[in-house]
Amino acid sequence: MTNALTVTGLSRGYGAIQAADGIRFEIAAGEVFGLLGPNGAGKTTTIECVLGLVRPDSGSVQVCGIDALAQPQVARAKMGAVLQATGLPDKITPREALEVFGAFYPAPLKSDALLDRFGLREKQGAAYDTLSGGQKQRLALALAFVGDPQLLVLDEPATGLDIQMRRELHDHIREMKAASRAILLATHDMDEAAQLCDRIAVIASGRIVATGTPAELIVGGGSLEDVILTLTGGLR
Amino acid sequence: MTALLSLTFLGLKLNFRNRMAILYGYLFPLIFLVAFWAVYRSDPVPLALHLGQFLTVTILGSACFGLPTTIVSERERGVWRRYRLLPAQGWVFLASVLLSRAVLLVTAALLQLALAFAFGMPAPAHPLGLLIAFAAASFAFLGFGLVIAMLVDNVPAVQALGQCIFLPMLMIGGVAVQLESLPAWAQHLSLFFPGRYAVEALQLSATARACPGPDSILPRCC
Repeated sequence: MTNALTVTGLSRGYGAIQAADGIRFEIAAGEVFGLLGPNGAGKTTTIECVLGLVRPDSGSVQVCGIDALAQPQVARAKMGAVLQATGLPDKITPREALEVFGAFYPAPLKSDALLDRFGLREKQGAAYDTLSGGQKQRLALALAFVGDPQLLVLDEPATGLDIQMRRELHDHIREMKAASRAILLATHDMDEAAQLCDRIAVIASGRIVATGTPAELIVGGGSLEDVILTLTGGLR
Repeated sequence: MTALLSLTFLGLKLNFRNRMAILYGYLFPLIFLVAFWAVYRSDPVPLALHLGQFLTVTILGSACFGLPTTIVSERERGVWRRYRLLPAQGWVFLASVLLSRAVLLVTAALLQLALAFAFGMPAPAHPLGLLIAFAAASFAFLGFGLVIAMLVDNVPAVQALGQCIFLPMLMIGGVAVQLESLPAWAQHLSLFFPGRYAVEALQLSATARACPGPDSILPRCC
């Protein structure tokens, strides 16, 4: 069966800094794959290469068997994403955003269903600049789901969310997993990674330094946090 | 095509929800028109010899400020980064911005013409020619707007660069001040400002008289 995502030998440098250096991993359908590492480790660069926002210096990215570097538009139709820093026009409403964004996909989900699913029904006609931070994040998630993606890419999606919103986010991720969709999750939150991820890649200085299930990574004892800190050079 | 139309329609709706965009897009062109009418009210036929000028001012305002301000402010807020995640090529987003801006320009020009007719301006001699000249000038100057948006990093820089292009064309480029009123050096300098050619093309369509300066590229018929 074709992997939802296959990344091979992905490298990307910015001047003297090698942000991604030979990154290699794959994600199967129905799998939640975590990217863990400290700030500047290369998580976001890897994700930007996967999404086609940044062209890698070398390597390949295949999304559902599609070469994402050769056919980025076709690959993007299979993906949904929530990035750390994106926005929407100030005066757009959640309903308009869902309908306009949905027009780009071959089989978009219904706006009404997404408004209900992400708790935005009451705010469907409100301007984006009047939404709270949590509501904006819900809309970002709803927009990531609008194309009914085979692969969901989340770059630290829980940043700034309260506990309830965080739980809702985790529920959405589990629903996606249950629907045999793949999720690539970059996070700082060790608990989140341990709870949600089937496998985790620990990334440091642009390289993957360990890959395995949360249980495999902590086989030597201690917590996942200890393991990550040790692997990334945070504990000496 | 559905995506392009949806995005274009959205751009129009968002523009009409923005008070400042309406102010700059519709009120300012009308203010310029009234100013032209007031300054040249001794003309035997109201505004007929200045149609090219006030329409070009509207086009320039939209190209130097309206379009790049929209693009750069959205880029600053990460909107274009979000658009890049969509399964479409970049030209779709640029085309939607240009199309919605063209619609805004046409409606602003129609408003200006309606008010000009109310002031007693006669109908243009060649309406189709006027439409073609307006479309050509609009897309040419909107291209300028895209270049401005590409060159600057933030909205204040749009205003600065926009003014650097807008004001010289108005003052010594034959757009707001007629070429005949300018000193010889300014008339020669105006050859390098594209605004005067837009004025000439529009005016020729409106009155079948270009009334150009001494170095006109158009046949002299005044």
